[in-house]
Amino acid sequence: MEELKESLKKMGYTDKQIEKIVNNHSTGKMKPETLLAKIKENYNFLISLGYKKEDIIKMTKHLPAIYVYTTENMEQKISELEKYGYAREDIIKMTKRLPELFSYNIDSIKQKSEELEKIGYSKEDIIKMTKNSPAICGLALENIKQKMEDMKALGYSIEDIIKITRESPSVYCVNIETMKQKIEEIIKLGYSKEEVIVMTRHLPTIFGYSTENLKQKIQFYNSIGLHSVLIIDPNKLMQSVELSYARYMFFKDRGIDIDTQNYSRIFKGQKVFESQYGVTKEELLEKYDYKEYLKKKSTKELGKETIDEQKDTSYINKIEEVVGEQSDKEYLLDDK
Amino acid sequence: MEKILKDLGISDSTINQMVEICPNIVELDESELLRKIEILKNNKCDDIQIRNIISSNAEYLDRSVSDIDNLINTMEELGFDNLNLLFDGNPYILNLDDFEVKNYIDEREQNGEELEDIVDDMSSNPYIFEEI
Repeated sequence: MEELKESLKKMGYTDKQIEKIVNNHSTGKMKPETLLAKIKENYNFLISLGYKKEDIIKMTKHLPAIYVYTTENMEQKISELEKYGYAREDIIKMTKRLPELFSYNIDSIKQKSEELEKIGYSKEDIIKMTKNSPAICGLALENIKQKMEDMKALGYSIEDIIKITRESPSVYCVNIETMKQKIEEIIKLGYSKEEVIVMTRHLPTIFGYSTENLKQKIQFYNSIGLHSVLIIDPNKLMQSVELSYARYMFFKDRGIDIDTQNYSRIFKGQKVFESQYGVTKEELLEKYDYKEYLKKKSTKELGKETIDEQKDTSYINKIEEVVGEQSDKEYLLDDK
Repeated sequence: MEKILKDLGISDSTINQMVEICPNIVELDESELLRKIEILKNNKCDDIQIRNIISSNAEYLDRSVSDIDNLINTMEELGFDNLNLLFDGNPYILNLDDFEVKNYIDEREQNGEELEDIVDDMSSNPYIFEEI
């Protein structure tokens, strides 16, 4: 046993991780010398497949039973998944995140896939979804169908649900209460439920954004009068506020007010922006420093950005930021 | 781990959501978490951007350092810059592997596009990374 523990320590496992491996219900049944030989065999096998040491430690820390699997079974599982349609690189990536995949029955995976195709997904959708969110492979079909029903109750159509989950498959792994909470959080930022449904339909990844992240972005765009733009064009949330601020101020300095008609100017591709206006991204960011602007505002704590009216910029009325209170929908624009 | 996340400005409620999305993060050593934060700092992410990225993409914390480094190195070699802005806009880019970004770009190049234009398109429309 001491030789086994010493070998695991040399491989990079901590004492806590070593205890988990030797006491696991699968590995704990083996004699130490047998387990050590199996660990070396499987470790070398995984390295030959392309896993790094760090990956193997992470996988086996989570699932020590990997050291009990035969290399033949693991190779066979990879072959079966390749025949089904996954690329080998994708399988390696999926098993890093979900090592349990090595123990899943390929027929069960195929059967679930067939049922999902009946619902409306293509096989390509399913491969992409499970590649991006391998945990879906472990979900029961009933759970997936229940989630679809729960989302319908929120106001999404089947087509919406398929689009949302195709683009953001991790939605299936999140509790419906968490989704409802996210919708409520966005409502508190000044949108109606119907508007939030529209936003999440267009940009499903909103469900993954944290409250802190959403607040910073939405409040910034509110402050420059682009509240309504985010309903029809929520993809704009994916441009860093730092860049949006710099471009907004660039236009403001030139007497150009950005509004809901011309907002695309601050979201132009950098090449086009540079050729049209003769300024690089670096120059913009240096001249219009978002961090400097934040320092001027009174901030209570990181993550809670209160808004002060500033003389030389057009800002909206103060938004109530008390947690739990509905934001007033008074995103008044300066009349320009 | 919780103390470090709270120091970043992440609320209890968000931490709970992070654990729901990625249960493995409860097993993270403090040193592993700090290492992932350091990677973002090395790519010029400020505190707000680090908070945004980690709180919105808990899976990033569960990725291996070598995979993250490979992704970042590949993106830099391809010509992506200001990665802090890119990751702040779309934190889920950090879940991709280098080969995925390379394969996507190779396919577009084979369709006749220039690398510079592809990188500009992806940098300007971080949503495109969701297609990978």
